[in-house]
Amino acid sequence: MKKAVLVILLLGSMLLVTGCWSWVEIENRAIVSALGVDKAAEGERLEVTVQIIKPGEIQSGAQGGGISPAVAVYSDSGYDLADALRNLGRQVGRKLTFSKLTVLVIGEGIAGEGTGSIMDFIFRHYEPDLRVKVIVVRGRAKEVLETEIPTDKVWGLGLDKLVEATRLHARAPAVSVLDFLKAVSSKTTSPVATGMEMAGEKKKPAEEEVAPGKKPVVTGTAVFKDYKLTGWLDETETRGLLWIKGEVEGGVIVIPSPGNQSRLMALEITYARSKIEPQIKDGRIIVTVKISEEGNIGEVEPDNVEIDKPGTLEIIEARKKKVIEKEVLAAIARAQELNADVFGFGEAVRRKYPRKWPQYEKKWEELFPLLDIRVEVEAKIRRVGLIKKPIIPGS
Amino acid sequence: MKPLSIILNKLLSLLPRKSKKNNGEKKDKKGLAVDYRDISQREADFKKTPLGASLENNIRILEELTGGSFDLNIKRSLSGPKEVDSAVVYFDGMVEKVAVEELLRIVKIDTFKTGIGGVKKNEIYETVKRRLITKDLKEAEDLESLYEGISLGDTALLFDGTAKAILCETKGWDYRSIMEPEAETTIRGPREGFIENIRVNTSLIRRRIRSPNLWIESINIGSLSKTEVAYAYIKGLAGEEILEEVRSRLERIDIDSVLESGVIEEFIHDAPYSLFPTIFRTERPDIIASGILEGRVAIFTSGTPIVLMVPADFAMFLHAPDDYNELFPIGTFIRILRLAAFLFSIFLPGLYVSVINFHPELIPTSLLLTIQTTREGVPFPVLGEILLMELAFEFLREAGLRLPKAIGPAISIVGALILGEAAIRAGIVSPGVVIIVAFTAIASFTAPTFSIAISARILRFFMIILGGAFGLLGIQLGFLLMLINLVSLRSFGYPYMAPYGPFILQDMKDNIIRAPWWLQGLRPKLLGFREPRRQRPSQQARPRKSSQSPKKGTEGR
Repeated sequence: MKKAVLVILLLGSMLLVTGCWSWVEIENRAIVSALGVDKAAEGERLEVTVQIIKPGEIQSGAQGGGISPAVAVYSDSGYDLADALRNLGRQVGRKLTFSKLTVLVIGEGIAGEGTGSIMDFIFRHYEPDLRVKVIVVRGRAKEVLETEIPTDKVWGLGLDKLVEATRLHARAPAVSVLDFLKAVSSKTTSPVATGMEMAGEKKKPAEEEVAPGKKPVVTGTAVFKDYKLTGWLDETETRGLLWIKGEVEGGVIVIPSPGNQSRLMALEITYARSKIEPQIKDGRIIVTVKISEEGNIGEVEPDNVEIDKPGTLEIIEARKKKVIEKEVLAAIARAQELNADVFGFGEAVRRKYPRKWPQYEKKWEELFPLLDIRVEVEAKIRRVGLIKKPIIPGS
Repeated sequence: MKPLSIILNKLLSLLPRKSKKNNGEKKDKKGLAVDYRDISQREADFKKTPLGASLENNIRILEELTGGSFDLNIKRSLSGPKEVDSAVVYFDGMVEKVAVEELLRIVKIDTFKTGIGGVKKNEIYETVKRRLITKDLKEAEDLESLYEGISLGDTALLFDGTAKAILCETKGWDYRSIMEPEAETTIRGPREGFIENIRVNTSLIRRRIRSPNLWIESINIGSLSKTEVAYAYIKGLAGEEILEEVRSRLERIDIDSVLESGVIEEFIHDAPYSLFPTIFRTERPDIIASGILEGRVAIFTSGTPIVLMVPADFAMFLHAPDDYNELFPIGTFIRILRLAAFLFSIFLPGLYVSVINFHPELIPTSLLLTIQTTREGVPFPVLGEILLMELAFEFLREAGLRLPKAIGPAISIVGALILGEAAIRAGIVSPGVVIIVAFTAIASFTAPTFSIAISARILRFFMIILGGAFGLLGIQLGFLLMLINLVSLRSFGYPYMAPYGPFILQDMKDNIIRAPWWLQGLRPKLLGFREPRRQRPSQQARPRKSSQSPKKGTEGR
């Protein structure tokens, strides 16, 4: 009996004397929706910008209708990210919580110097999700975070949606911290990140209501070598990259119309798969990229295209194939120029020839720019829909 | 030496008092001797007293021992041609008036008319006994059995010269009529419920199971109350070991009174310190009947509509008669629903506290922001809020139970609507907490048996505190402790968590899912092992064989 009482007392004291380790009341948290890192002006190494969600604004906006921003932006600098964030604590009274972090915006300056410690911070910290999207901005991250995204109250979420929407149209890749680190951990693959730039005029006081002024635009791809930014892919090259990686999920291919050559025709992409097939022949590596694509007809300029005529579809398919090939080759050329294996060809060779791979691995730096890459594209039109002919004036 | 004797005297005064010798000096109002015998001694004396040949003496002793209680009726008369002294003894209010009058007529008038009094004085007892055509006849040879008879509503006939009494069954006291039990209602199912009369209760079972193998045994428990306790089972189906256990546990009970079956439940409970009930209880005869048919034993207690059933398993407490009476997909659906609600009612508030305070990343961003907004300005921590509201809800529930029925709805309106709304408006609690508490309350009301709902209520508070102290780890700890307790329980030797632990595949047909009746071919493995086959397998309705089916082309005309 005594023993039982003792055990109960001990268990009970366990509840009382622990001091509730890591207990934080929810209203004392500052929820960070976006994190920006820039090169600091002088002395200190980097400047950090956080976008904190102001909870009060969320609800008042919901009742009043209309979208008013619900974030507060703070910046501070320090020797590294952790240091800068601690310094930031001098301005923000609540505990910074990274659990809901959605985007990590890296300024071009710091990206060129190396992002190793930033990625390690996200990786090591227990709060952030590894699905945080990595964006590299041509300019300063702070500028991006301070810019209002009119569609969203929480601007960080707006940036996230921006990347996601662009990815669906295959204009930019969506890269998470996890993807980035996976690429880094491979010896040959170069990590990439979503590119972003600030477009448009600076906000003028007079037109504040009408024009939102400068706004962030997702465009292209930032190419890294290990943790350092080495170059960029433009939108065409980016789609080439996505074709090879098999990450195209949608988008539009514009080709000259089979009827009137000066007119254009848009084809929707509905399905795309790729296959990277490396081969070692007489000590030389040949990589064959096989891409198969399917799509619909999206938009036709009314100029007498007879889609139901035999042969028309074949012409369309051939032109589509050509466009895809061009994009893919452009991406390969740019990557070879940067000597950055963004496609993971090295990994593909390693997977297929694990025994022979070590001898190539060391020379990959020299091998990749001159790699023999063959592209095979198969493009198909699956459905033309019910409308065979566009409506032509007078017909 | 003086202090020692004082202490000794004090100690002696602590011992049970022995009755003082007091030989008939004092008399009370009725002229009977005042006696100072204590209750146990009185009972013992009562037991020892045999009936004598002298009627006068017998009546005197009876009056003395019952203190001439005002509801004890003793009708004296002369019977038969020989004018033998006779008495008809019964308790007012416990007998059927007509039957007693009939008896009185026989004793007083018929004996003269027909001359059955016999020749000799002491023959009258036997002759009357032979002539009686009432329901049930017993004989009492001592005072104890005589009293036992009349206290159950029998009428005793005593004749001078015979040291025996005839006990005629004339039971006829008033009781509540059979109604639908208020605590356990169903949409589809019988509307009958048990009442306080044990004979009616057993008959409700007998009507449902008309097999001669439905055996009902009874014993009396309670040295003063002598409560009838009966246990019903199907001989040959219920395990003899279980029966032996029930019998021995019931016989072991030594108590002065059993006013409700809860007393018996606690005496025969396997795990008295566990929060989970290992004895099933219900007011519904259909549930008891189905349990008996599975090989369980039902324990009826006189004076209460609550009937116990053993052995019980955990799943039973979450099953309702509707599951069986509705079609099986619906039955299965409500069962899963109820299980989910049961888990919610234990864990939801604890989960809320732990997630809000320790793991905000588990909440979707927009919900997190909403909660954060509404928490702004609330003076208490989430743990305090939840405990406060849970406590308020428990008050409400208890108040609702105790209040007269007419005021009940008023309280629920005041409590639920006004209190909740006002608390949010005043910023004392956040709306999220009110939603959680309300949801939990609704979930807890889905439990079909009160006994399991009440254990969930207590567990909920443990989980809140564990969740508040350790976050999800605490909830996990609580869950594991609960599980350990559950799987280690046994009800009359039957594993409480069967068929999950031990895992019995064949019993899964009637647990989380409720398989159609035609698939329930076997009885529960550990209960109905003596005769596993319940029905012919695969009896689902099918089209007839092709030879008998109508020809093609003639269909649908």
